[in-house]
Amino acid sequence: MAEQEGGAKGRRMSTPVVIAAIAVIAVVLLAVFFLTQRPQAPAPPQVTVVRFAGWSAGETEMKNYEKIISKFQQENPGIVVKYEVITQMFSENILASYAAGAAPDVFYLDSAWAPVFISKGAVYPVGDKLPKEFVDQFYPFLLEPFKGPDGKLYGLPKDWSVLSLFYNKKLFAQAGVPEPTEAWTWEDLFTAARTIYQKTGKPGLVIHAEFNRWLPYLLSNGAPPPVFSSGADAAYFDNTAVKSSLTRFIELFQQGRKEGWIVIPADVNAGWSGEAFGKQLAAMTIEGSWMIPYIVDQFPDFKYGSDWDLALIPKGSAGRATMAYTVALGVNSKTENLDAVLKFIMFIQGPEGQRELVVRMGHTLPSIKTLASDPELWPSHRKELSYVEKYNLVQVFFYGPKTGELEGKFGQVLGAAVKGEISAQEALELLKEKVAESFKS
Amino acid sequence: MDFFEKSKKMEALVFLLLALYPLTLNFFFGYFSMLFAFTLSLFEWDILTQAKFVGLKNYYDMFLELARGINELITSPRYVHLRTPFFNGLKNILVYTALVVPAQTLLALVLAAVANQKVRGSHFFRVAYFLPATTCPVIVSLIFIWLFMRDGFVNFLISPLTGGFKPDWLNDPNFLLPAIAIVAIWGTSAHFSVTFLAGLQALPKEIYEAARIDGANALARFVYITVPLLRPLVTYVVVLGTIGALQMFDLAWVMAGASGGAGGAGYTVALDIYNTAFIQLRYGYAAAKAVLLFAIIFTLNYYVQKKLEFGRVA
Amino acid sequence: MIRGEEERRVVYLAVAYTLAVVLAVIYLMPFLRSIVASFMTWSQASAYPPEWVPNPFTLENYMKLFRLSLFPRWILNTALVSGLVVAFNLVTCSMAGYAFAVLRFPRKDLLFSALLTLLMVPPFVTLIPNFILITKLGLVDNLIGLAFLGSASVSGVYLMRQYYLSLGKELFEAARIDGADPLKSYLYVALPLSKPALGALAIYQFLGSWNAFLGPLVFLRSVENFTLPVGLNFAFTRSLWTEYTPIIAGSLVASAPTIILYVLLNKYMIRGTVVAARKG
Repeated sequence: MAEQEGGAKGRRMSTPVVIAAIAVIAVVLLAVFFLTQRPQAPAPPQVTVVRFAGWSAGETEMKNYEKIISKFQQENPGIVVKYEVITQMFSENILASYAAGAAPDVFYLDSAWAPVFISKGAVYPVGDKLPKEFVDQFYPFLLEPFKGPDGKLYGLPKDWSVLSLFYNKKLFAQAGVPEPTEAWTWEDLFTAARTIYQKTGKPGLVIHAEFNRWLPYLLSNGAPPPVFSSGADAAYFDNTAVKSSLTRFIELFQQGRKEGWIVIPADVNAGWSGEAFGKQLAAMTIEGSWMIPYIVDQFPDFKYGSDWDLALIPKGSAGRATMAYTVALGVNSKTENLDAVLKFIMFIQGPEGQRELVVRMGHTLPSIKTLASDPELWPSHRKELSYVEKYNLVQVFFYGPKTGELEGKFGQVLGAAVKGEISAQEALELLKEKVAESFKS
Repeated sequence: MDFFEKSKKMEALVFLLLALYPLTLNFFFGYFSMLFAFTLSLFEWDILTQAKFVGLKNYYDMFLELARGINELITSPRYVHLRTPFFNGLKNILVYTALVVPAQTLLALVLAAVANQKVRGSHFFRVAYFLPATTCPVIVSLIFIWLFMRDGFVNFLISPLTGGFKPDWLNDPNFLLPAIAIVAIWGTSAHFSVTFLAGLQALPKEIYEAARIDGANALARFVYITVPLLRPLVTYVVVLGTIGALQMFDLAWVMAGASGGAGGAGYTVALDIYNTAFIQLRYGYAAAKAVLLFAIIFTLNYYVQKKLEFGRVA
Repeated sequence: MIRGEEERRVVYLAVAYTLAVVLAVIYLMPFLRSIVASFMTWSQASAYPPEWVPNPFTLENYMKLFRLSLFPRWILNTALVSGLVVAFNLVTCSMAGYAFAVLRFPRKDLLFSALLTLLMVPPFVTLIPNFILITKLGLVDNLIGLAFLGSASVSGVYLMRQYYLSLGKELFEAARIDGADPLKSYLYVALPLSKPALGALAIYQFLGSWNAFLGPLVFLRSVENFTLPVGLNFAFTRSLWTEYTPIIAGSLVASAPTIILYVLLNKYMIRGTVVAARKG
C-alpha cells in the first residue's frame, strides 16, 4: 500500500505543490508591483519643494516650526516646505543621506561640524547671494565658524547660547558670602566656593571636565584662542600662558576635589551640571543659556531672580572671556531650488522667524542684534545679552576642522586628570598627542 | 531507484519554494551592504567626497594600533584607553563576551526550567521572567544606572555577602564592565528563556518516565536528559548570544558614554567603529575594523557550532 | 513509602518556590523601579539616596504622553509594522526553517551558513549602504517598506530550523518513507508540532519590531510616520537635555502590548498538543 502510493505520487506533481508554486509566484509579482509604486504622486511642476531637516526639541518646537512654515507658505505660494525631524544621530543621518545623494536642501549645521562640511564642498556659500543688510543684522562673532577658508560665508546662525556664571542665592546667603559682582576675579570665585563648602557642606562650584568649559579661564589668563588646523598646532599646548593656566586649573581642581569644594557632576550623582545646580547640590556653575529653560521645566520651584541668578564670568589677568555656541542653517551645495531656499532662510532666520522660534521659546538666544531688546525676551536671557559687550572676548565653540573630534578626546584626558589618574604634565603631553593624532591621516 | 530520484528532485523543488523568499531578501540586502562595507575598507572615504583607493593601508594602521596596544598594556596600562582606543575596545568586548554568554545561557535554562514546573503560579513566574525582555535597552540602562549607585539597590543586596564592601559600579574602571554585563545578562537571559521554554514543551515524556523509574533524581534528569536533548536550541542561544555580545553598542553608549566611561572600561569595538566612521569621518578605516570584528565573530561561531554539533544527539 | 514521598514533595516544593521567588524579585526589580519612577518627578526619581515612594504622587508623566497629539498615531504605526512583520515571519520562517532542517538540497548547509553569516556583520558600517539601497528603492519614510525589510528574519529561520532539528530526524524520516511528499509532511506533520516554537517566534518578532529604534530612526523622516520608540524619543528630547520620566512612563505603556501578547500566547505554547510520534 505504502509503496504503491509512493510510486503514484512520485510520478506527478501533487496538487498542494502546484498550488504553493502559484501562490509564491503571485506573491512575488504583487510585491514587485507594490514596491515600484511611488507612495506619493509627484508635486505639480510649478510647486518647488524645499526639504528642511532639524533635530528634535519636542512637540512644542515642532508646532512652532509648523506655524512659521505655514505662514511662509502662505506668503510664498508655489513653495512647499517639507519639515523632517531626525531625533537622534543627526549628523550620521545627514552624512548617510549625502552618501545616497538624497541630502536635504536645508539643515541644521552645528558650529563644530561646519568646517567639515565647508571644506568638503557640501554646503553652499549663501553669503554670496544674501543681501548685505540682512547679514549685518547678526552678531559678527557668530559668523566666524561658518566662514570658509576662502572668506565666503556658508551659513547664518539661527540662534546661539552663551556661558555665564550661575549662582544659588540661598546658599550664598547661608554661608554669608557676598554675591558675585562685576569686579570678581577667578580668585574671588575660588575663595567663595571654598567658604561656601566650609559653611554649608555643599560644593561651591560644579563644572564639567570639558575643554570648552575651561576655555574662559584659559583665555582670560592670557591664553590665545585655540586653532587646530594641522598636527603642528599641537604646539598650542607649549604656549607659556596656556601651560601655566591649564596646569594651575588642573591642580586646583584635583586639590579642590579632594577637599570637596569643586566637583564634576558625577561626583554629586548628577548627569550634568545643570541637574546638579537645579537640585541645589552645588552653589555655582559655569553653564550655557540652555540651562535656563531646563530649570524652568524640571525644577519649577527654583526661581530665577529670587532663588538663583546669573553673573559675568570672572576676570583673569588678561581680561574677561566667555564661550558662544551656535547652530546655522546650512544649504546643500547641490540643491536644485536655491531661490526658494534663500527665501525660506531669510524668513526663518529673519526677525519674524526668530521672534517666534527663539524669543518666545526661550531655549536659546536670538542671533539678531536688534532682538536683544525685544519685549518678549525672557528676563534671564535679556540679562545674558546685556552682558555680551562686557566681555573682551566672546569665543565661539570652534577650534578648526576637527572641533568635534578634538573636544571629545580632550574631554577624556581632562576627565582623567581631574580624577587624579594622570598629572597635569602628563595631561598636557596627551593633549598634544591627541592633536597630532587627529591630523595624521 | 526511479522513485528515489524523483522524490529527491521534488524535495529540492519544495526546498526552493519554501526557502527562496528569505534567501533572496536577506542575501540581497545583506550581502550588498556587507560587500559594500568590506570593499570600502580598501579606501579612504570621508563620506562627503570621493573615496580614495589606499589598498591595505587601513589594515596596516589597524594592526599597528593593536601592536601598540599590547605594548601599552605591558608598559603603562593606565594609558591604554587614551592612546589606543581600538585595542581597548577589543580587549573589553572579548572579556565582556566571555562573561556574558555562559551566564545568560545558563540563566535562561534555569529560568525556563523553573517556570516549567507544574506548580501553582507557574504562569505568573513565566510572565515575570519574560518581562525584562520587553523593555528598550535605553530605558533599562537608565534604570540600572540608578540601581547601581553607591547606595543603590544592587549594593544593598550584595553588601551582606561582601562584608560591607560597596563598589562604585559606574565610576570604578574595575566594575563598569561587570555592571554593563549584568544589565545585559538580565535582559538576554529573560529573552532566551522563552526559547528554552518552547523547547522544553517538545520533549518526550517517555524518556523521563523511564529515567525516574530507574531512580534518577530531578537534577540528574535535568543534566543528563534535558540539556542534551535541547542541544540544537542551546546552540541557537549561544550563537546569537555571542554575536550580540561582540557587537554590543547601545548599553555601553548609555551607561558609559561615547568615550567608554571611567578608565575607558566601557568602550567597545562597536563604539569605536561608530566613532571612526562618523566622528572622525574615516569610513574606510572603520570598515577595516568591522572586517576584523566580523572575522572574530565568524571564527568564534564556527568553533562554537563545531563543539556543539548543530545536528541532533541520539 | 508514602510518607517519604510526601516529605520529598514538600521539600521539592519549598526549594522550587524559593528559587522561583528569588529569581522573580531579581528580574522584576528594575521593572518595579520604573513603575515607581513613572509616578515621580524627575528631581525625585533621580534623587540620591534613592527614594521609593512617589511624593508627590504625580500622573503628569502619563498625562504628557496622552497630550501628545501624535501618540495614537504612533501606536497605530507601530502596530501596523509589527503586525505585518509577525504575520510574514510566521509564514516565511517556519517554511524555511523546515526546509533547512529536513529537506535534502545540494549544498544546503553552505547556504545556511551564508545566511547566518549575515548576522555577524557589525552594525553602523552597514548603515550607509543600507540607506543608499533604501533611498534608491524609494522606500525611505515608508512604513510598509520598513515591514518588508523585516519580513524574513534570519534569526527567525534559525530558530525554527533548530526547533525542527530538536524534534528528531526519525519523525520526518518516517513520514518520508511513508511516501508523503515534503509539502504534505510540512503541513500535516511539522506545523501541528510547532506551536511552541511559533509562539516563541511570534513573541520575538513582535518584540523586535515593536521596540525597534535604529531601523525606524534611520528610515523614517516625517513625524507622522514615526513608530513608538522614535516618537517618544522625539517628543521628550529637547535639543540640550532629555525628559526621562515621561519616556519611562512611555516605555511602560509601550511594553504593555508585548506583555499581553506573551500572556495570551503562553497558554498556546503549553505542551498538550505535542504528540511524540516516536517509537522506541
